[in-house]
Amino acid sequence: MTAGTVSGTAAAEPGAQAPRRPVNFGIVVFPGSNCEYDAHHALSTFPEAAPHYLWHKDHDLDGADVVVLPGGFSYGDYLRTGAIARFSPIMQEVAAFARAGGPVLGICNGFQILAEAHLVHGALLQNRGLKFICHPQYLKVERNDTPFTRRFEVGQVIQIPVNHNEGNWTAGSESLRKIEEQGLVVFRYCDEYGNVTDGANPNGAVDNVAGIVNETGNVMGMMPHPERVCEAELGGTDGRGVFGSLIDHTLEQ
Amino acid sequence: MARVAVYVTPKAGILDPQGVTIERALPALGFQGVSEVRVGRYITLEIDGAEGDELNAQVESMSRRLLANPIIEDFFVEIVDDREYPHESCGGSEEVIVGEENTPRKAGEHAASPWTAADPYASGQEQTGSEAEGNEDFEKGKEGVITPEDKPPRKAGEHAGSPWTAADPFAAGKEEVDKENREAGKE
Repeated sequence: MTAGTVSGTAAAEPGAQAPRRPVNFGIVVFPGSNCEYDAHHALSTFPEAAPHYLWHKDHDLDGADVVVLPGGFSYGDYLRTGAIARFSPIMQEVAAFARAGGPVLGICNGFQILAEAHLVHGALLQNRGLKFICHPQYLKVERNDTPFTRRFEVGQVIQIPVNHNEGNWTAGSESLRKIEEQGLVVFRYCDEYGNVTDGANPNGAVDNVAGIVNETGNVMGMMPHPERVCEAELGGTDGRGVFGSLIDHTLEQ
Repeated sequence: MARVAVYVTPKAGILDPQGVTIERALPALGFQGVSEVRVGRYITLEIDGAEGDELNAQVESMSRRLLANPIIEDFFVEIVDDREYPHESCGGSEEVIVGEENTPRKAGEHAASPWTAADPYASGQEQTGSEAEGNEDFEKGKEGVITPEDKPPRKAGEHAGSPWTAADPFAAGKEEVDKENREAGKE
């Protein structure tokens, strides 16, 4: 599964300016991951991105500028979602990379793994409706000063699909207070007009939290799948903002 | 060789949708007065090479780091020897107390249970927004409960000990149900 670096120039338009250097996206593949190809494909539509896979048993990140933990059912969701994947060898490297300020994006199961690894706050419970949910979802952007959301406006309403059974984010009341005080919430579930209401909350997540960052802002977990809305033919392009922001952020370093 | 049981339960204040659903289903079977249904996990282990404080520390650590997620779950550890092992006791022994003839149970020597002295709920006093939502859902759900009119309300058992011992509410309920089933069969 350790495919080498794949050039992301397939979608580059003729005459497009050559990037200074490709932004190296390392997509971690756990046993049971199933969105790694989607993430790889979505990233390959960015001329500036060079996505490659990282196997969970690897001990180095192969020069990744950005680490992506994709969606899926790592280790069959045994015990709790993300609970076993968190102890994979590569997670030590991911944690060290995150501590050093490297951007880490966890999508869906990747968010669950980040939460279990305590790289972001809280935990993901089963959806309050007990149903697996899979539908387009409106999100309100709360911050655009993170490496993941620079291409959005604060208050912007975007649409990115959700696809999960355990997306009911929660945290203890004390940590929730701190999280809100520090403004760690990046995306909230909302209706099409941007109203953050209980009715627009698909899974019961506290305060409609759909995505949060850590205190230093370089690790983000989100339940919705931005990699699935990166091409108009596939129903939307709002997901491009997330990966595009990461590219902008890295090229600026 | 130590045999260890780890009970993992949703923290107090954490919405437990499975528990809520089960709670709503029980009245439909004629079980009245059931509340606070919480669904957890029961993990058994055998551990070699550690005993006493070292064993306690080991189990505590593995529970905190892997078996339970302390953000959302409480855990309760029971370290037992062969005689006290709850599953072993189902095989029959000198002290049969409840249940049908072919599935005798033995009273364990459980000094504490998740519902008594070492109550895991007692330690988790954190309230979250989901609790209010959960209770609200539950209240709504109550109104829609269908109760069989021909069945009288059940008497609650005495919840004095662990669910595997004398006051086992499940066993008592089962006995009652079995009795009714037998009576129904005669008609």
